[in-house]
Amino acid sequence: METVVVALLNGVIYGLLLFMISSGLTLIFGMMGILNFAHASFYMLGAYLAFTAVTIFGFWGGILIGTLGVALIGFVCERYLLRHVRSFGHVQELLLTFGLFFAFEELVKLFYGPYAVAYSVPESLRFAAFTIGDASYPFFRVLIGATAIVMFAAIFCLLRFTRIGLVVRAAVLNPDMVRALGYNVSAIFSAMFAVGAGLAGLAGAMGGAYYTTSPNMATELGVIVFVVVVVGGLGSVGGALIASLLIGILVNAVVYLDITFGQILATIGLVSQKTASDLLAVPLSSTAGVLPFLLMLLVLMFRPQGIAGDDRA
Amino acid sequence: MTDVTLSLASVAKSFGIVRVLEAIDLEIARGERHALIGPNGAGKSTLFNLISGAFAPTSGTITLNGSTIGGLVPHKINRAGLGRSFQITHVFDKLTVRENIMLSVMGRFGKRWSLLRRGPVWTDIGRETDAILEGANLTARAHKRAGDLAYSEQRAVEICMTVGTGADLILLDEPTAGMSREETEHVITFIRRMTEGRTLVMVEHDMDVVFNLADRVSVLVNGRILMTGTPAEIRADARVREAYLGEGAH
Amino acid sequence: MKSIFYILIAALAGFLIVLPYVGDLASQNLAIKVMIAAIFALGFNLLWGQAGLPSFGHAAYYGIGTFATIYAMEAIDKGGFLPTPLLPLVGAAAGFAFGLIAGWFATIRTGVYFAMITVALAELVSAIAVKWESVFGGESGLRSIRSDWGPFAFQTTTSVYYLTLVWAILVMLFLYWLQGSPFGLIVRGIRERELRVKFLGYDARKVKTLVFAVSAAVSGLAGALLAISDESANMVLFQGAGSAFVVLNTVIGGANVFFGPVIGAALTTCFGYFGANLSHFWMFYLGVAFVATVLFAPEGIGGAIVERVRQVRAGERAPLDLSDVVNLAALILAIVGLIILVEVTGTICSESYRAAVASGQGVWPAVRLMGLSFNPFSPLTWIAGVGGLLLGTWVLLKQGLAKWPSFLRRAELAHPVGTGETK
Repeated sequence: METVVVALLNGVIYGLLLFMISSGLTLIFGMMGILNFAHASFYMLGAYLAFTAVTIFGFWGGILIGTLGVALIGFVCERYLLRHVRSFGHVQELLLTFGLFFAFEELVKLFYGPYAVAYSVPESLRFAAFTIGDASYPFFRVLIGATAIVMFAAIFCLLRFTRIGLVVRAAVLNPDMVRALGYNVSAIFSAMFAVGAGLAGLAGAMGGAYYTTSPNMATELGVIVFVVVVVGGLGSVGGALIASLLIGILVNAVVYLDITFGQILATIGLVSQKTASDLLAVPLSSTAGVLPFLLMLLVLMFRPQGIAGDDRA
Repeated sequence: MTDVTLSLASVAKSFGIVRVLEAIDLEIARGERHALIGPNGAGKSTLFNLISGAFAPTSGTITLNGSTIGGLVPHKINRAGLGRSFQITHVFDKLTVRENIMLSVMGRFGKRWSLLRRGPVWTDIGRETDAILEGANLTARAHKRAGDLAYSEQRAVEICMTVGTGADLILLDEPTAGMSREETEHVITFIRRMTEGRTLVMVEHDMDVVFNLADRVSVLVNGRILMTGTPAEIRADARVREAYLGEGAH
Repeated sequence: MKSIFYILIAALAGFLIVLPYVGDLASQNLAIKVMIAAIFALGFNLLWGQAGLPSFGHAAYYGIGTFATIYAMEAIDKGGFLPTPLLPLVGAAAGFAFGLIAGWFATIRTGVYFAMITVALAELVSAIAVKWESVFGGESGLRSIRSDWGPFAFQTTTSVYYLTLVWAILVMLFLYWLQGSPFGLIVRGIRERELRVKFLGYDARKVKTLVFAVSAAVSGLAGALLAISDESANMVLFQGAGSAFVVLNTVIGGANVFFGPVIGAALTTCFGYFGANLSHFWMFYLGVAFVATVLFAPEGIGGAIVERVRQVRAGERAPLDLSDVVNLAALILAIVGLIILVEVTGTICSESYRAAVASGQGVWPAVRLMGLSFNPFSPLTWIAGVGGLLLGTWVLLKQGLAKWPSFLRRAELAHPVGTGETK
């Protein structure tokens, strides 16, 4: 029983981490039509910046620097690079973000080497938040989840209850009209891009401490984030939340199941026991990596616009 | 009634809770030239998109030559015999004029998947393409990139493409939008020639075009058809004048 | 002018044919790698340059081709069923089959959605390959051997070289012909105005799926040639780098020119081959080159060449003039500056350097580069690096070789050249 609860909790928190990253991505796409390939790179940069800053400014200072630093990088990318390429078309923008993704990974390797770095949670924060049965649940993990929730709430309130939030929401719906009303929509978009990047950076700063920090971070997580966005529906933050949690729980829960892929097929009767134990002796727990993609394929087949997306083909 | 090509029965369309069209009943005879007019916001574009298959009606049926087309995908609708042009010219800018028209003709001869340009069918395709170019006075422009042509010429290419598919119901969306008086006159003659023997439905704002070209006219106001009649009948009707009060021709 | 083009092609072909007689084994191996990368890139560009569909996960079909061929090679070794020279068809068939399925899924959506789906599909294949050790061989991969067939022996590098060359030519002819066919016309029409093509009676989705499958087939064929050349297949083929490289090659070479991907593949492969020995950071340079291309020269090298040829033909410019010399000098200056910055920074951040500093009691040794010593503490090092880079870039921008980024542009309007897709 405890394992189920722990698995669920792990899944929810991992999902919330995914959400911190994917919310920015889906929001930026919904607003500006840009699919930012480099968004996962922001996650990675947040971790690395925090890692470096921690030695000078302490852990919390490091987190702050990681977040703000990445927000700044995001702003610069959008304002000076992406905006220039926009005149060439949406797909050129896509190519540029892809190039940035590649370049950022190499840049990180340039400064920090190709292996993981020892960015970890400081001793002072390594205690248990609570215990479930025999297992103690790490505080920092809960903190990650809490941060995500607080961030989401903050942005939601900002968008819904403030004047600038109103302007932003209007700009998403009809940028030309908002421009005509005298608002600097370009600046608004740059700011939102920076906020999205900063969120990813924050996720990286915190997630990198708990999980591994390596140049592979962007690739590994980047694809999952794409899946989240496709499943949730491009442009929908609510959809991204549901999809993130779904994938987070799925991936974490499956690890606890002690059967192989072959055994499942054999029970249904599709393959013989022999094949099951030779060729298909892949434990279901190890298919955790594959599940998000299967989910994506299913969604594409039966509900292409995602959970909460619009019908934009 | 004579042979009916296009028939709309109790067609309605809503987007969410917004009712755009209601109780649309319309029958268009084979070979008829029919114009759809109405003040801005009356729902002409929506009706046009419904007929051409961009989306399905919320209720009611749309039939073309007896078979239902409401809700079919665009390429199936085209193969059912309907061709449409777009309000903003949709020619292939980077292809030559001849290639543009050939694309439309190829489909008619069933050559959608071919890899070779040999064989008697291709001679026919080539001949047909050249004939269309000739009829549109575009032979001199055949090898220019469509994107380099003057706007009215691009329109002409677009209409040629629409007709080139061999469709017997032609839908034209504001074919003379953005044209000068002189260009409009050319286009009217051109349309009349190209749609000879076919059925034509067009959305138009320019009353001169409507009176010159249309056999019958339907007036759309606030999502309903106010009346259908000959241009003369429309012109004389008091309700139509009232609906257009202050609007006038574009 | 066209005759000059044909002469060039003939010369290149001639050179390739006699290469084994004038060059050594290493150059043959390099040429094989270049040809494989070129075929892969051409296959990719069928989807990207012709159909306008950005696939960022094309390594999947390349890798599938490699693995399928390795299995076929095993089968031939046990009891030949297929002549070795026809092995690439196995890769093509495998690529085609998977491309058909993948393409069917991916074309459910368009544009950026499509791109994301291709990435996710590639990751799916990669994840499966990593876990399914019995089929994909795990970390050590699979091995096989080339079997001789009839009068042809395939045990030497030269024999593989010629086999690859023949297939490369066949693929190029096929793709060139496909481009000019009616099918190619429809594909280009879809790229420009998909809705219009649909209203001309074409089932756009089927066409796109088929193009995807053919593109995957060509990629699978390239993978097959790799299997033949290396006699091995490894799951790392499915990783992101493979997909990234083919995009890099095509964009740098020029997606709108038929030979663009070939140029890009050749340059990148050679750069990787020589550069990997000279610097740890050669991939970073590649990344910078890619970003710079997208920002400043979206038509790629091939596009730039075509544009220059057009200008010369129209009499607007001489084939080679003073500004070219200036541009070249500025480019070299910028590159040198970049190299200084990258190498010095990278070296002082590396493990080995830090170890040297620690053992040398805090003395920071100089970085040896291009025969010179660069002291990391000397401001001259950084001035040279930053200055060279900035000065070179500034001259290039001013000369108009690169397109002005919008924040530096003044009164004159730059001419946007690009695969300008109006969405």
